[in-house]
Amino acid sequence: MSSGLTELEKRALLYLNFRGEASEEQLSMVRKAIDEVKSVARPVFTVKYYKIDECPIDLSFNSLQTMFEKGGSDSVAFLVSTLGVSVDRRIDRLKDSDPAKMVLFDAAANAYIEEVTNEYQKRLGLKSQTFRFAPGYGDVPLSLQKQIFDNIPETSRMGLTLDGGCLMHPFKSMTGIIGFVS
Amino acid sequence: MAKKDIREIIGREFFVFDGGFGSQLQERGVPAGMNSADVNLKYSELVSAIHKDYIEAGSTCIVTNTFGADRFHITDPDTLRRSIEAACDHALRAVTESGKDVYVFYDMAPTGKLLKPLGDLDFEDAVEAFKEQVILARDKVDGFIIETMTDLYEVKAAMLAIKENTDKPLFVSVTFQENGNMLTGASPEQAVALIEGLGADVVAVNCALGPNELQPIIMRMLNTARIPMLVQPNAGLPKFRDGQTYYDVGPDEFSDFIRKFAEAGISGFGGCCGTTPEHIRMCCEKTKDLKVNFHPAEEVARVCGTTTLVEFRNRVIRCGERLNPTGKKKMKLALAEGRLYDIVDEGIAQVEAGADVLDVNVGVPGIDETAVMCELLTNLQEVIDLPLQIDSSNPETLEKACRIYNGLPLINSVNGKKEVMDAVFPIVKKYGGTVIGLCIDEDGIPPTAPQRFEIAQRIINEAAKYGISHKRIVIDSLVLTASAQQKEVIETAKCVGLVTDKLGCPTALGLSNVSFGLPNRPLINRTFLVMALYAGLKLPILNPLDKELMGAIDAFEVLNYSDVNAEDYISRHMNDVVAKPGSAPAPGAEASAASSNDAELEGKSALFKAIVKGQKHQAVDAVKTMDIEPLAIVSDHLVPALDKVGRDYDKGVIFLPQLMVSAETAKLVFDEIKEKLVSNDGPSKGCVVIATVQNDVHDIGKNIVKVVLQSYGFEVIDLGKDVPPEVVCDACREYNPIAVGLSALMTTTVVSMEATIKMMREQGITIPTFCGGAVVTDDVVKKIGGDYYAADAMESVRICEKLSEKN
Repeated sequence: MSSGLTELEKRALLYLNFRGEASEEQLSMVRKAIDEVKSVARPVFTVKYYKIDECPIDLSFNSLQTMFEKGGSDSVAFLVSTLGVSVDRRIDRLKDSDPAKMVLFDAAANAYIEEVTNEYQKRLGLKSQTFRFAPGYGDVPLSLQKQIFDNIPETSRMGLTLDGGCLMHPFKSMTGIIGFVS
Repeated sequence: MAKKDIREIIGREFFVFDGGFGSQLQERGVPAGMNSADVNLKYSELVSAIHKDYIEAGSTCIVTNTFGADRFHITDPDTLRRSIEAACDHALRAVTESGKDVYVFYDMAPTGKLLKPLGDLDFEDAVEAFKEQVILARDKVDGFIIETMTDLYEVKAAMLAIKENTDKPLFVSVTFQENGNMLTGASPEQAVALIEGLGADVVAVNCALGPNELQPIIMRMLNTARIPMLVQPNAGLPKFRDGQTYYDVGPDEFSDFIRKFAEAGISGFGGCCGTTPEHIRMCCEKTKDLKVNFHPAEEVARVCGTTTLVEFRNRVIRCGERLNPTGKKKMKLALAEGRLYDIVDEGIAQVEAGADVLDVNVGVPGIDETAVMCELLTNLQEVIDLPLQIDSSNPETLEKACRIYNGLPLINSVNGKKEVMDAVFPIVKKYGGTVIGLCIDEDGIPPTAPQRFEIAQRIINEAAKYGISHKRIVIDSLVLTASAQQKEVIETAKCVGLVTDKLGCPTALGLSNVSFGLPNRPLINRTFLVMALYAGLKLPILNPLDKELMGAIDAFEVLNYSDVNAEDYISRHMNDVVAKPGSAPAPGAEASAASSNDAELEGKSALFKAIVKGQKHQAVDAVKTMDIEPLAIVSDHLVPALDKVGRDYDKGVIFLPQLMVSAETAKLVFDEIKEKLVSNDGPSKGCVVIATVQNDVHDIGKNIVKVVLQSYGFEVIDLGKDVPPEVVCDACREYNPIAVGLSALMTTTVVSMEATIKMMREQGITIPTFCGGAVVTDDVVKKIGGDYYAADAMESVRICEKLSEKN
């Protein structure tokens, strides 16, 4: 069964932490959730490029430097994406009315933001790009988000805000740091 | 000879706008990012020279260098005034020096702030910021162009500011993302509907994308626009080289696209970022043998919410009636007590049930109707993106509500009374949208269909005087009560037919009135609905939570060939369970849970099967018919069923949502027998306190644990998310639980988890803790002083069961 699955379906099942072979019935539940996410989500993206040595955002962390070195990067792209506030609202609503559906919807939304962000990143056509690094992993603190947001004012026009802990709202949002050769 | 008013030209001759301005300034040495005030005041010759270059290239319309000339970008009022005046003068000087008939448009750009509720800018403050620009520029320029707008609500604020302060021509240009929608989610069709509805002369698209990416968006806009269209693409998508952004669609390629758009029906063109006078020159060259091919699209009534557009075409539009206090005690009370959030929930329920539009009425004595209506609309539009029907008999309420409404409203209502038409039609004209016209006048509701039809005609004739087309009037023939005026009920349906056939307007009916005073009201409502639909009814105002009523519309649309291939019907009804004649009513289709092998369920009780399969109705029905001790129900059926589901989950046969549906089913069964259990002194598994720790607002995992624990018979005290340590400690003292469950999603909030456990121990609370969440591991739990690591919800159950046995 899994061989006939789309990447999006596979990813949603992964986020559901499902280890087995999905039955038709289970797939249909996942597909429904994906369709619903697609109808509610309003994906928006923004990207900002800098030369690494002119970047006003702190890139001195080991994991980032290693990533840039390995990729031979001289430039960096900051990619911010969000599915918009409606997805969060839907999850909030389902929390009380249908928790099982909430779990499906949440997993589908996680899978969907990853997919649309990947597609958007592909279209940027960055040369020799590294993988997409997210603040909050390795030695890169989540607080770097604040610097990124301060330097990319488009984020506020996307309806994105950071809370005191530097978490993004709406939740279904991503920040990626990508090295490339300009 | 004086130049013609541009309104005489648009749609007949091509009007040619200029191209990129900022890139031209930079090319001539102005530092990037300098604001327009500095540029206009310091580089006046340069600004004029760029205008002149575009005029030389063929532009017949030039745009002032006032992008960002507003109080938010230029905070000193005197500088703002001088900059705007200078910008207008630079453009006028270029025109005079060229000796050509060129139109000067004032460029009005976004404020750079987001309007409430998405941002912090008040709607009226936005109107005011645009208004001060209009007042400074209106006597100098030939028209206004609002451009690069990414939010239709801001478009509305800018358009109102212009329309209220000048009658000069108004062009409105919006910007789309690559996904085909505006930043705030609106589609091209919705943008066109709103811009036309608010009375622009030309609709336009500019910036963000190149001509190739804009192509499908332009075609969609042309297909729906009734006013001429202008396009101003970028010279491609931005590229990056040597730390600089650049655009690579050259004049030749760019102008090929413009020719294609001209053939498809645009009336004007120009360029945006990265385009140059050479781009404009080539566009003029390549379109000089073409004539404007403008054909207005078919007119239909259109209403929109924040991100949805509803058009009155061949499909039935379901208007939810439940946000109306008439006959609803709970809503009256909520309005009187200002609990608008409860009303919003009722709105959400209708959306989930399939409504396309929601009626909003707050007519309760003793409240400020206008203020409450505006506040409720704002609250509703925060979470509901469907169009709303603003329902009030008070013109002041209608005016204020239409003004702050984010979208194109459906206005309920006008009627045949002269005084009402005089008050309501100016509002409809100003704010666009569509209005419901009631077939009632100074003499009341006439008894026969032809008499009501006559009022409908009068309403339409009067609307025409305001330039409001009959397509924007939805006629309501008014439903009377079958129990009191039985003879006249059929006249309503007849009038729907007359209006549909002879006037060509859409029709509305408030259905529920028909059945007052009769038994089995839904049956009467449903039957009348089908009669009216057959006569042509397009907008039934009904209770969307009435599944059978909604189902009747689905079925009608199949039989009427409006739901082609029955696609919607099939998707909505494929899981319907149909009761056999004479049997008890079938429960509604439910999400099925486990895909267990049916063979494994052989010989098991109906209750066991229903829990495993997650069939809530069947489970509750089954437990009601079981004549055995409640304790035996738990031990012999409920727990074994849950154990099987738990095992299937562990084995990867079922996935988490199915586990949860079974858990919810088990909880319903448990609730059903709980009272008897308590009175029989049945064993309680104990109380568990759970919380998402301080600074963490991700509570999905915690909610899953709650559902599953409850299904296993634990009493769960859910403290919510972002819970401070002291609240957890207080709860421990108050409830004395057998365990405390803590959840944290982020590495940063594991610290709060540690702080919570630490405070518990410091205060002498020895209750065991179990911890979980995306970044939590066994090691983390040990390190922070927790007792158990719960990898998932089932693990939480096992931990709590162990602790329950110990107690």
